Amino acid sequence: MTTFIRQIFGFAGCFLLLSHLCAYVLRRYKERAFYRWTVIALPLFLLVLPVGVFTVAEYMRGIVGELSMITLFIMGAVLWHRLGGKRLIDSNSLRFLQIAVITGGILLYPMTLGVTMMDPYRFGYLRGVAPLLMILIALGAWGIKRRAAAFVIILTLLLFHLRIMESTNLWDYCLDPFLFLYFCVSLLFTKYIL
Amino acid sequence: MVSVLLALIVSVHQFMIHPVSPAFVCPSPFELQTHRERRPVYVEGFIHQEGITPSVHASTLTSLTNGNVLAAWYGGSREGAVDVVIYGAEYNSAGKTWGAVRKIIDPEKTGKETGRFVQRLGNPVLCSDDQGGVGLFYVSISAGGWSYSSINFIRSCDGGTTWAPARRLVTSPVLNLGTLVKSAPLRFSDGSIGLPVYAEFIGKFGELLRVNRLGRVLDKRRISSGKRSIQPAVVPLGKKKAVALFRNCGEEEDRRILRTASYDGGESWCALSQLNLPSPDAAVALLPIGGKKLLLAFNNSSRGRYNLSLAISEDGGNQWRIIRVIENGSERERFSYPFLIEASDGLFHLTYTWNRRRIKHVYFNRAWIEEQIR
Repeated sequence: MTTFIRQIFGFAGCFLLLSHLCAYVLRRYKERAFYRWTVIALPLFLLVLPVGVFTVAEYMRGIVGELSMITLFIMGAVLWHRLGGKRLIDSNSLRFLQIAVITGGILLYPMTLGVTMMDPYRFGYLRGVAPLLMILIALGAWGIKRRAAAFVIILTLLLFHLRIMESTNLWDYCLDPFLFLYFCVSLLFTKYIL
Repeated sequence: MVSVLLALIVSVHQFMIHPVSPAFVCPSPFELQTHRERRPVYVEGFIHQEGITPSVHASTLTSLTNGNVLAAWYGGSREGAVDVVIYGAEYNSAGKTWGAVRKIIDPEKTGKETGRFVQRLGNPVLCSDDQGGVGLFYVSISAGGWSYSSINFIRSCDGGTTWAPARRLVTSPVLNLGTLVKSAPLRFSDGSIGLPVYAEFIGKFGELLRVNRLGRVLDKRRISSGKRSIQPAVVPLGKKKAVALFRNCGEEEDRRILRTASYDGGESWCALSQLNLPSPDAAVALLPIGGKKLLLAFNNSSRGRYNLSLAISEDGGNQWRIIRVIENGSERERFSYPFLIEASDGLFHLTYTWNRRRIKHVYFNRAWIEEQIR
């Protein structure tokens, strides 16, 4: 059962990526009735489409890997909003998450390449220390009224404790290179994100 | 606020139960069953006939609970080809014969079981766990070269006849790319497995993963840094002391085998030092044989892999003495990727790639080693 749930979360990233691509391509038809169903159904159809031995979803997952929980939450919330739903994560909370992810990425990625003996990725295996730090960040977000950000962080932490992803490292629940690069680019080139 | 409190409770609970880093399990000479034969024994042979696959490489061994030895290696049209499959064979310790070669896993099965496209397979490493199970860690690639590798794991409860579905180990935050295995694992006192791995994605350095018997990563320690130390062979010399030797893949002209040591259970490692042994950018195999004695199989040449030798150290891996030249061919020949174990009956088994065509098997006993030292 756990393996099945892990696979679902693994494929969720591929589905959300394709859905956003569909939503972007079909953005002129946003008001049309077929828009919503196409943005949901077309990616699902594409993902289960077999190409040789593997499905499109398996090819995508082979290349993209696992997206972090925070990426899934953000992509899910934005897709929901694009399909006419309520905005689940306000822009202030997104900005908070953006700063947190960029800070984490700057600390994490250069040193994981083996420049020094220090490996911040190991910190994510220490099950007590890293989650407590996450809670402090969530409390900080709650304190400055970034409640959606706090909720996303706490939900990520709870899913980490449930070992819902393949990874056993908290860093992999919080950020991935795609989210880090996207947030960096959006910080540099646009005033507003998403 | 309820969710914050819930997360706080869970995290504090996990913090309280988080164990102290476990000690290494170091088999003392008294725990090892001594091979009954007191006269020196040294026998050479091959695991399989030539031609099963055009190319073979990267053999690995583990001792089974029934006293036999299981071997695995990869074979296909060439290294890195899409038809590469991991094969295995069982050595009957009583009859001194190898059983039939059988396929263990291929890229398609790995891909289907891990839910992702897998194009090619690479180095396998076998290990036995404290529950009598056999694990196989192996490298896979979805796209690109070895720098884009990941590690997978399968486990068998019947000595390698059948295997549970594959799972992928997540070992790197950069799309889980660039981690490979080559060398023999070691054991920790809590039953977890210490798996020496190395990174080849931008940096080239060694790490020690701590993995449970089901293949879940529990911890990771970096044992070197930079761009020249790969394929660490890590062995314990005590509860808290371990030594690691590396393949030197640096740019320098006169490459030497690299060494480091840990005195705190692998938490921290000394700076790399160079041994007085050449490293022609080739893998080494290391085995503790009691006390501070270590046995090393390596390519004893500055360039090329035509010479494969056994060396012994009696001071924890600082000073080495060649005790036997196993192979010394022409410069075009290649005898590489040695793997050493001591089986449960006390016999030492060495396998290596013989000219990429066959996996060669050599076994010897402690009396033979002592004779070579004298």
